[in-house]
Amino acid sequence: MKGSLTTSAIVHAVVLSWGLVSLGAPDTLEVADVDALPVELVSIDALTQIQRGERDAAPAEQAAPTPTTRSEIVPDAVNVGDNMVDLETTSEAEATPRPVEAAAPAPEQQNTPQSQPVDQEPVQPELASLPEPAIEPIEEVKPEPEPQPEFAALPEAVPTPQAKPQRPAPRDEPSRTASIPTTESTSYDPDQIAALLNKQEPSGGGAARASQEAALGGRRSTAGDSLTLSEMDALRGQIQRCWNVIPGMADGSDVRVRVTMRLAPNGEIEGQPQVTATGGTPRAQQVLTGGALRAVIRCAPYQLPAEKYAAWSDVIVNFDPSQLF
Amino acid sequence: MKRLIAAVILSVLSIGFMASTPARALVEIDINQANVEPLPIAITEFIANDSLGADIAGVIAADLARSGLFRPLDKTAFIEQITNPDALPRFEDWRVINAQALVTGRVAREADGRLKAEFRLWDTFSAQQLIGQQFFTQPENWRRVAHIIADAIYEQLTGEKGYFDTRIAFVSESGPKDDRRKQLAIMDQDGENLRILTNGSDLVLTPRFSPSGQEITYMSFEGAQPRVYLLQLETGQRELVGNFPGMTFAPRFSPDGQKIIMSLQQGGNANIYTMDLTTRTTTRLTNTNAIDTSPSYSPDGQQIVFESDRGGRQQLYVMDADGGNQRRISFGDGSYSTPVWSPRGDLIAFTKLSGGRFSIGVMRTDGSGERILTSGFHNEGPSWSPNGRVLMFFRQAAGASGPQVHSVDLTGYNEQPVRTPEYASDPSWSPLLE
Repeated sequence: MKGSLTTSAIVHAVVLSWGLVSLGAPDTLEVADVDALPVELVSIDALTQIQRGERDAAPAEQAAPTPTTRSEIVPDAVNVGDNMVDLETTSEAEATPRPVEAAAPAPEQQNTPQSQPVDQEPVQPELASLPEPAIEPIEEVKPEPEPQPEFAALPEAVPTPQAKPQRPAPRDEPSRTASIPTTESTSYDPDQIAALLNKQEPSGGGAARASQEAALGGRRSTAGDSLTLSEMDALRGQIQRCWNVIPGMADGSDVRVRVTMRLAPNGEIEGQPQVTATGGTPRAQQVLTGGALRAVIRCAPYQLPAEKYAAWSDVIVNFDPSQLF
Repeated sequence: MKRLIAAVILSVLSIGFMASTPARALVEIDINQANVEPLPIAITEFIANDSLGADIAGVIAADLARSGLFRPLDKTAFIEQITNPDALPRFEDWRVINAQALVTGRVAREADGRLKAEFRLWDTFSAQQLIGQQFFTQPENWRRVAHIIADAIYEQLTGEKGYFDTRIAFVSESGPKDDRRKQLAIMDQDGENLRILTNGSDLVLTPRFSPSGQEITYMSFEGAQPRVYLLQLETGQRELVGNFPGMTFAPRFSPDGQKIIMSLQQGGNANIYTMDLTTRTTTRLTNTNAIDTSPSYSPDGQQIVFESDRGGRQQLYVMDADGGNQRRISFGDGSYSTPVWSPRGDLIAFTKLSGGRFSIGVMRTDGSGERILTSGFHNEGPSWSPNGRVLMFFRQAAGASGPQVHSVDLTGYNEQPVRTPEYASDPSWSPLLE
């Protein structure tokens, strides 16, 4: 035992002393003089989002929303006035009064062409039950490119309604008011009232009205599916502003309140929010539950990006008062 | 074969479940900061045949405002005029003026002469009633009814018991500085209904309420020796507490009201004694060559905190109710005195003299977490409210001719003077009146 110990000690000493003597300082590292390259970090999800478009369209940089498709516009029934004669064929005088073609009633048009929901079909069967209007003031008119339609001359005949409106040049905001044009015709024909009113064609179409061709994309866009951090912060700030807490409450720091609520697209709360509280004493739970409910109700409606409504339609808010006491 | 079929079925089912998850997305946010501000509350005049309705509403509003936790809204801002407190109010009108709570009520005289007062507390944003109560009392007790209603509102909205239906016993000081008259006085906690209890011919000090609120023990300088006395509030009867050879001072009741604990001076030092009020036996608790004084029981009666200068400077010590296990709890820089155990049992309030400044502070019962609530030229003698939330103390400003009583919230905010007709010192807060 002693022999091996001494041998080990001797060998250790020899190796260490050799290392001490022979091993010198390492060489300095040569650093090549290279220009630094600027690097930009791009998150992968910015590249992998699906943009909304049509499957068979050409890819484009900017996602253009799918163009609006509109249903066939059915011509109005053109029985104007008390007579039973079809004004279309004025030359023919019919002996027997012919029942006026009650064509499929025209879609209901509003004076302000807001974006209408795409489903216009359900409106029509409903109108079919209405008694046929004697005077149908709403009339299809050729769409005008400019907002100020200039009516040069009053047409002799009632202008025929357009079956399918032509796609006009891109226009941003169709005019809202239908200005009644000045007629140069001296004769005032009440039957021509229909021609004077409502120069606007019905604005059908989906929420994303566009005149651009669709780009390559899927049915739904996935980019807007989640709120960004700053948007969530904005929502947090809106609720925090209204949360009133009594300072120094005993047993308050253990309570956690969870509020679940459903929001409407305009930011208002739909229905009653559900509240659950855990931890702490029942009395502290009751007080903090009341405060949380008041906070959530007081600060409605919430300002949130409307295009991401699918992401924030349900909101869960966790109230944690532990840092306040 | 069976396992294969089971595996296929399982995989189909799991795919089916995955496909059927709803497309609605969920946003979850955490909120841990809040707006710590007084709660805006609308207190309407109670419906009454005379001015009593407005008076009661005024007392309630003053109580809640003085607590610092509520902000009663100005009556001129009210949109809806309440004519029937039982009907559902138009909550929209109250939300518009940002009232988060609404108080409506009615007060009427019954046929037998009693006063009937009822009230309802509404939550305007949830559009529901929170509490509704009614009380019967003698007409001259209308102030107490208002305080009780304020307590109920306070408790519903803060979760803690109120302290408005209480009284304060204190020493009322009058006269010039070199010939001061000190008299025992009690009043409601809002300063009304003041009553003087002694005639002022002898100096009185440190009055303390009993747990029942019916007796006061205090120290008086009449006779050969300054002694501790016991005064019955209902009958006015007075008796000497114990027959000690020396001066007794700094008396306090035990939480069960059966004992009085005080200091007895012997020679140059003082020790703590208790006296049982029923058996009249006395027990000695400390035995040191120092001044042990200002004892205070914990709410469960198991421990006593007191001040002693056995270490050289006045410091705070805690011992068991039988005098054992005496240990020091204050280690800060300065001298600590007049300790009081909070009714909640979690804190001890004290007076601290450090660097020439007097401060009122609180610390936990083991001495940690020391927090100063107010500091100045002179502050002394804290006394807790029954819910352990508000401290009352007295202060003599530099150059003033007499002290004033002030109150401060546990959080250090809302320091307010308590108005008294004359100078006042040594306040003591009664428990909630039955």
